[in-house]
Amino acid sequence: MLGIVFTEFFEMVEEKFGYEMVDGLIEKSSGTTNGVYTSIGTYPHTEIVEHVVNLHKETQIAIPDLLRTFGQYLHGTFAKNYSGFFDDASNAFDFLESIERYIHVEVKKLYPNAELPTFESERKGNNQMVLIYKSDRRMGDFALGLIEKTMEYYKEPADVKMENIENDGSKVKFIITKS
Amino acid sequence: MSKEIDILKRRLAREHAARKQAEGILEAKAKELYEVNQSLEAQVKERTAALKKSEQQYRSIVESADDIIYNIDSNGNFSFVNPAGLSYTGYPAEEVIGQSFLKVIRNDYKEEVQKFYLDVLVNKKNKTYSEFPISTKSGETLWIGQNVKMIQDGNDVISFSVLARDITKRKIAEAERNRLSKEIKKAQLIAESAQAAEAEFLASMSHEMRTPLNAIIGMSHLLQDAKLNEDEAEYLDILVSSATVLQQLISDVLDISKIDAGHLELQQKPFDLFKLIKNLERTFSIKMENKDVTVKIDTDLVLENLLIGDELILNQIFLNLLGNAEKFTNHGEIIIGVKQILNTENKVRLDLSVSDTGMGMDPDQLEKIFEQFKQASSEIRREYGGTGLGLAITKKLISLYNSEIKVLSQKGKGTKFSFELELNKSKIPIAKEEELFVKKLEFSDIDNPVLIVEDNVMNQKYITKLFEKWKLKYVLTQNGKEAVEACSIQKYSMIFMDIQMPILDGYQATMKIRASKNLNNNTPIVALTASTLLSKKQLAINSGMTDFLSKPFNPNQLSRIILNHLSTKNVSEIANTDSSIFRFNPKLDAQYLIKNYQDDLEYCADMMEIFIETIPEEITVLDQSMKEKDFQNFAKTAHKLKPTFTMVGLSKLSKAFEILELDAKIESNDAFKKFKTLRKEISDGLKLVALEKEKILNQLKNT
Repeated sequence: MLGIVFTEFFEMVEEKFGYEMVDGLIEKSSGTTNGVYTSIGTYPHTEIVEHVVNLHKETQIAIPDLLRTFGQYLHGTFAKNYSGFFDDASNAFDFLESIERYIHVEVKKLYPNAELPTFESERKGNNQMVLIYKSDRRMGDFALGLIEKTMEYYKEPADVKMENIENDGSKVKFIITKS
Repeated sequence: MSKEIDILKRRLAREHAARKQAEGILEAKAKELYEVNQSLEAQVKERTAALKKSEQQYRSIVESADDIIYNIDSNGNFSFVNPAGLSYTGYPAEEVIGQSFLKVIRNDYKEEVQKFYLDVLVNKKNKTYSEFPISTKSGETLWIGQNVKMIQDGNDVISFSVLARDITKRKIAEAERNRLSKEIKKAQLIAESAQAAEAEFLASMSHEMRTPLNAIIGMSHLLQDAKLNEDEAEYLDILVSSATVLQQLISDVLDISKIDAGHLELQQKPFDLFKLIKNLERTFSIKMENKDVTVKIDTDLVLENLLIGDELILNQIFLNLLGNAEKFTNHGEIIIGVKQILNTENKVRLDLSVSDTGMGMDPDQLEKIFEQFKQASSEIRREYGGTGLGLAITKKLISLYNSEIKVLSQKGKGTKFSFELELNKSKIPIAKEEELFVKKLEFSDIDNPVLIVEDNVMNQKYITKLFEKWKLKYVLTQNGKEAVEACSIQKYSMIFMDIQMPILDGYQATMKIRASKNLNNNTPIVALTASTLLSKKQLAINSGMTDFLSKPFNPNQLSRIILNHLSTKNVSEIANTDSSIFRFNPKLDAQYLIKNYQDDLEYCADMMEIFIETIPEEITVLDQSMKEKDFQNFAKTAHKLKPTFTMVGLSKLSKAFEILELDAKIESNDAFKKFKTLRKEISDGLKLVALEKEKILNQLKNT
């Protein structure tokens, strides 16, 4: 998994719960990296899962909520660091469509080994879009947070519904309806 | 407090480790980049070397090439010329490089070559080929053929790259070939005109020889009628036969040369094959009268329409074959065979043959007979005469039809010549022609005289003597001008027109007679032509003539052509002038009478007798019906009488009765009115028939 996810995750944990929580999660971790993450490196996916599960144990906050919050948080980082992608699209739906056919293509160029989720998109009229999220990482809630923040970013208030297509969460449908 | 310090320590350690890790990653990336860079540089070096090598190769090719390679810049100046180009033109590099390319072009081609480059430049034509002569330094002319390729920078032409080749040898060969082909054409023209001259010579020879020969033969025919002693008669016979042989020889030689010169073309005109065959049968039957030979037709052909082909040529083929059979057959029969191999809606394929029971030939002789001037043996020539050309001509004539003559012969048994012909059918049905036969002629019943237009005194005498003998009235004129004048004075029944005459020739005279309004606009005009060329005959027909007669002609040919063109009424009157049969009164339908009672005058008299006896009775019936206005009975009686009139030669009355019958059937009073007006004609007819019957009975008594 891309290093930026780890660095941003601990960034958020430190901001919300202080560095003591960060230190605790790293100390509990059974991984080999020993909490040494950089945004340009890549690390095993299992480590972030362990961190999230441990955070849940510590805070008693539900995992989906944690992931969703993390998605919302990461959106801010993306919007700041990769504003070019956001500037290229003039509205939220255009941006969401560009994830699959443009942004992920660019990411692949920089990180040929990155394993990215897929986002199939389909517009249903002017005000509705259906997104199908597919990933073995099963991080639909994380995607939900990103989508919600995207709608906010473009100042297009919307209702985002999430439905599992596969029970294990490897395939999720989002129905985004602008209000 | 110490816990917080521990956490801080760990954090620092982690951050330090992370920075170290990031530096490591970046360093790895930089190294990777460097390696890529290195490899790119190596590739560039390699490519440059290859390019240099290929340029060197190119250069050595250009330098050592036999072909001329040069570049011209956009100003038209040489920027490069390879060694081959320099040695070819004889100029050292310093005398051409930077100089206009026009310098080496031969003066008379400078403008053209300049135009060519302009065209390439303006129209951006790539890879254009052209050929032109150049002038070498020593002033020699050489030809090059070159391909020009434009070198472009974007849209601008910066130079021309040219690959040229020495084509001087080819050009010289081409010039030689052109000169030769011109000479061949010239030679061909000379040959053709020589051929034309030959044909013209033959045509005029034909005329010049035939005209006096016509007179000789004609006069000797007349002399045969004079009272001669035995010696004189023998001399005359020799004279006639020699002249006839000479005539045949001329005719044969002309035929051969015409066929060989390709002048003889097959006409494609409808003709009656049966008529042709029957005429031949008749002609040869007469010829064979003195021999114990019968001439027969053997045919299984069924034809309803005329065939399309060349009647004249087919006739000549048969004439030759039959003439041959006639010559060598003394007993038995000559059979003209006309068998159908194929008979479809549009064409027939025929197996035509002439077989005889004559002396026949052995295999050695068979080989020679189709060669020119060869006969089966020298004895044959001595005994039977002939030119030895007949069968050669026949073979050639048949080959005109893309067919081949075959011969079967057995010494002492006979000979059979045969050939196959495929002819198309026309849409014209075969006319049922009356068969007339003339032995002795008398034309006294022809109302209008015949006009003779002939300048040759001997020919004049020949024709006029014959006409006098036949009691045929005539008017004689000396040339075309007199003929045209004569035509405006009175009507002629037909005109015989010589072609070559002083003042106004036959073609022109005919055109004048046909073009101006006069009494003879539609009178048949027969060309008397000494020419045997079909083209001359066609010319005669084109000028408005009806038919043609080739000179020299015999009395039979002349009389046949008269019979062909005079109206049927006259023909029928002439037809029964044969004193050996009976001369019917011209007021009767002699044609019908001859045809029906040809050899049975007794039967004819009987029919007339019956007619005389029955008619008055029937007329009474008609009178009675008229009185009672009984249309039905009137019509019935008229119907019954109708053929009776025909039977005795009163064809006109027969027609009239047909109309009476029709009128009566629709119950029109016209029937009765017309019948009244016919009374006189009926009684006259009765008298005529009664007289004729008496005449017949008288003749029968006398013979």
